[in-house]
Amino acid sequence: MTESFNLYWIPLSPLVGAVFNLFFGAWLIRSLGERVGKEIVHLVAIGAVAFSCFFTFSLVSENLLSGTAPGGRVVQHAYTWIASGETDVGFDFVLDHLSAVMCMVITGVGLLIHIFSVGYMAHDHAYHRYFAYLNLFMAAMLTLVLGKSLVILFVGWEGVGLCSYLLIGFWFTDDEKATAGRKAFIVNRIGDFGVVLAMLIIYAVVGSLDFDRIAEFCAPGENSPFVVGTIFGVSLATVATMCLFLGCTGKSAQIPLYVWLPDAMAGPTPVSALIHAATMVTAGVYLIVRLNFLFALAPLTMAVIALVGALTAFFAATIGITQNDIKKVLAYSTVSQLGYMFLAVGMGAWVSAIFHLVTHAFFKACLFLGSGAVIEACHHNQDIQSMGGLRKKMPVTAWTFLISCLAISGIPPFAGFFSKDEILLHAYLNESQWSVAINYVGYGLGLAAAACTAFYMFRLYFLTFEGEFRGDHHTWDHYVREHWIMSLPLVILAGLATVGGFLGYPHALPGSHALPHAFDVWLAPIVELSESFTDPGIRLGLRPVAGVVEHGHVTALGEIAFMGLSVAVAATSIYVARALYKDGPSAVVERWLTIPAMAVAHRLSYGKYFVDEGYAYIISAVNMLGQVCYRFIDSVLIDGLGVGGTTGLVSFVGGGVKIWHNGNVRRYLATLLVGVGILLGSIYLNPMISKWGASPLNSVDAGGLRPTMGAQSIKMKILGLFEFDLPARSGEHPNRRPPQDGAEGNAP
Amino acid sequence: MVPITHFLYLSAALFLIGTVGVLMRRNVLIILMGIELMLNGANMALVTFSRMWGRLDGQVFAMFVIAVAAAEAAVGLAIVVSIFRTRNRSDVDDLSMLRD
Amino acid sequence: MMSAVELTFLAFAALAVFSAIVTMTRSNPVVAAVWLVASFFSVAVCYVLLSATFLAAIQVLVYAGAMMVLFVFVIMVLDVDESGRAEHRRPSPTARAGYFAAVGITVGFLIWVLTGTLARQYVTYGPPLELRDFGSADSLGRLLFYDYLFAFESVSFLLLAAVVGAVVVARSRRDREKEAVLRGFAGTERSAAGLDPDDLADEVLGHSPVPAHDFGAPSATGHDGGT
Repeated sequence: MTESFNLYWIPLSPLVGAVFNLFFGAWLIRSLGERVGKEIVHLVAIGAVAFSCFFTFSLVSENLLSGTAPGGRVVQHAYTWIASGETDVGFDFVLDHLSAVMCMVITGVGLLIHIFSVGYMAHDHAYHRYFAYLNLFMAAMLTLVLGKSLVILFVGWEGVGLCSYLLIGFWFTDDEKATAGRKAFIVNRIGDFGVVLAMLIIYAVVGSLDFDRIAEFCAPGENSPFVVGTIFGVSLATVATMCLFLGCTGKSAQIPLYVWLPDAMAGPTPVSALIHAATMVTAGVYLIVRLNFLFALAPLTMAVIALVGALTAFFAATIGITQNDIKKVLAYSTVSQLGYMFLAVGMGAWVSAIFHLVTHAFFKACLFLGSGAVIEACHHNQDIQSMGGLRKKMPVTAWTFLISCLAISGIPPFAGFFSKDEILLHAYLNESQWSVAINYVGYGLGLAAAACTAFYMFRLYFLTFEGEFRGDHHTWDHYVREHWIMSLPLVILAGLATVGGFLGYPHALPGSHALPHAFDVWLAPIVELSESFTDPGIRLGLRPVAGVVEHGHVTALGEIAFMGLSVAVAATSIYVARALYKDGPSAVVERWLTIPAMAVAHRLSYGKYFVDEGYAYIISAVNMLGQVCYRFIDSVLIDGLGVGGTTGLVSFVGGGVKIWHNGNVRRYLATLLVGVGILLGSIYLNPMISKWGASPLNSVDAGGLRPTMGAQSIKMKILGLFEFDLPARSGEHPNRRPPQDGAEGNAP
Repeated sequence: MVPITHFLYLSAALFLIGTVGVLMRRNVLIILMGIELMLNGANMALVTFSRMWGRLDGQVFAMFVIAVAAAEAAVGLAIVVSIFRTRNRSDVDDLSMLRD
Repeated sequence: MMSAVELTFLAFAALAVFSAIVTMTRSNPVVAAVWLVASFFSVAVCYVLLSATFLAAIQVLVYAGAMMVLFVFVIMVLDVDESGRAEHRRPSPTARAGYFAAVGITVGFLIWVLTGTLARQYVTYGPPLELRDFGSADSLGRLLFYDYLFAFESVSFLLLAAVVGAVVVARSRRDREKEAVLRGFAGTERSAAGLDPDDLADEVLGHSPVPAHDFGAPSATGHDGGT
């Protein structure tokens, strides 16, 4: 199984690029001048990612597509990291179908974003640092998806969290941005706590964190130790997966830990595109799909995931309707779309989730990059209320943005239509082992969220690109324009968003023989374990609904019905949005807002439901604890007593001892003798060494150094090199005469 | 036959007298003489044990002690000379240069 | 009746101890030195009784001969004041107590150790001496130059260091400064005129013929070395 394909070059090459840029980037720019230095920096960065990209694609086509790799995957054991007793953790990488998909997306989209960044960050002072961090992020993310065990995954997990912090707070001299970075990291950490707990539980059951071992333990289905074993009556699978889900809510911005994602827009826009749209936030989804067999054993958790996902999708969508910052809208849109992915995994539709992940990467990245181009054009203005009419001067951006909006709204034939529709289908039709209500709630919320999505995306589009420019003329004349280097990735991504959907052509539709559902086929080996569970408590599959599901498959009629419904909803929303906003901010909406109910709703939505403020209130309690720790434990106890106390004690003792040193030689001599006396005493008065008789002045009894001192053998090894091996001496001293006067001899 | 322990008593006595002299006297030259007495006491013990075990190592050791004692006396006296040259007084209590 | 050996031992051991006590109680260092010589001689005799003949000779030559001569020379050079002014300063009661305590501890230990470890069965004369010339120069020399060669060479080094050290340490300040000046003093017409370099140096340094103050004075606070 283990072949030396050097998989580790995929994450290693961006890591090398990152290290190079960190160490030499600044020096290069300083010494070779801005143009040449920056050229080298971004060439190194892009080259590293390009290498990973091409290597990934070549590996996939060579080994996986052609079917030559054993077991359908490439495994590499790079390095034994921890070998302790029975624990053996290695840096094992695996390139199977799932990680191949993720790698291709990550490296492909990442490459495009690196290219975009060259244009976007062209005038930034910390050019090298940006590309270094970006490469570091790529390395961490690739480690995450290529890991063969939870440990390596977690290494990457933490790595992306770190890079997210570094990149969000990239312009850290601005307090607000630095705070946003910190918030992201801390909220992530709360989630990571869950992941660690889950890792511990899994390790306790399985004895290893390797995915293959975990799969073996989950294979028995309801008889697996994960289900049989319980904690407080709850099965181990449920506990572990709940903890993992906590981590996923942190990393993938679901309720309750989504609050960092909107603030993360403080970072540079390409960062938002890469991390908070295409890759990092999908790590949670990847984790769940990777461990789908474990999650399948815990129907309660699945229900929770589905509900949380659906709720988040709707919740975030309602917030997005009222936002005026172009990036914030996209941020909430991301949260909402991630909710869809979690809805999918919660219903057991693993493949759909990955499908949506991929298509979302395409159109969301395109959206973010487009917004980046717009922000650059409007001279770092992000408020859509002062934009408008940009299509005239930025046609490529406008068209790609439009395509992506259509994709995200779920309009055929663009990518989002196929993936989102599939999710909604499975939300309604997949059997939930918990309750059938989940289907209704999930589908209902999902559909409502789709409506909102279409609405706010087109509101965004119209307010930004259509109508008349509402900003100042200086900006319009001098800044609003397109750069080819920023438009190129947009075009590529928009193209992918157009055709990508056909990778998931539904079975039920006619023509599916010619164009099979690529993702279903590709990811079949990943999900086959969980799909194979037949025990009633954990079975996955479609529930029988008359007319729609027959023989365990969706009929063409059902498929088309669902499609029609979602397209209709989306089209309606788009129509409403167009009617309201096609000429700019809508007077109609202004009038509506005077109605008290609407005003309250608007206030709630605009204020993000005041969740942040609520959290701040909760945190203030923790903050108080922190203050106590700082003021008392740190300042008083540790600094005062610990450090200060130690030094004070030393000074005190020193001061005391100093009195004895008056320079009087005789005193020193006397002290010397007393010291000698003490030394001798420690030998002669020590019962372990010296043996005394009943009375020291009794000359009959023998006293003296114990013969046992020589009777022990001494074996020492110094530094592993020098060996001392002194054998025990017998009690007989070589020169000792046997006692002459018949007094008792010494017994050894 | 002199019991060999008597030699050890002699060595102890010499050492002791030397020690007392070193501690109680103030004249630095007398102190140095006391040190020589202590060394003699140690030498005596060494030679005694050498005789006891019938091995010459003790005597060799004693010879080294004599050599080192000579060197030490020379340097010590040189120091005394350099410190007390013009004072016409050799009171060790006057010395407090070792103080911090 | 005691044998000759026992008698000799008794006499000379007593002499050694007596001389030692007298040495330590004289106020005149020269007298003390002479009594110390007596003690050394007695110890040498005891060495002979222990079959350490060569060592006895060394003891007389080095200790009594060379070292005590050095002592006496130094006493003369220093021209120690005999008025005993210094000795009239009594140590404070605490200091006296301290010294007695130190002495007491040492004495106690010595007694304890000796009586404790010197039970007869441990300390006896060993097997009869194999060497006919135990303690002779020949046998000692063999040991010294075969087994203990390294130590021997090191000690010779040590002696060299001691000699050089003693010379360096005992130089007076005047000697030092003169040397420094002379080393850096290029020839001038005065030197060419045949004037004495020492006087020249003195003039340069501004020394009056009689040194006003010597180096190495203790701290300005004077006699705080007392207890």
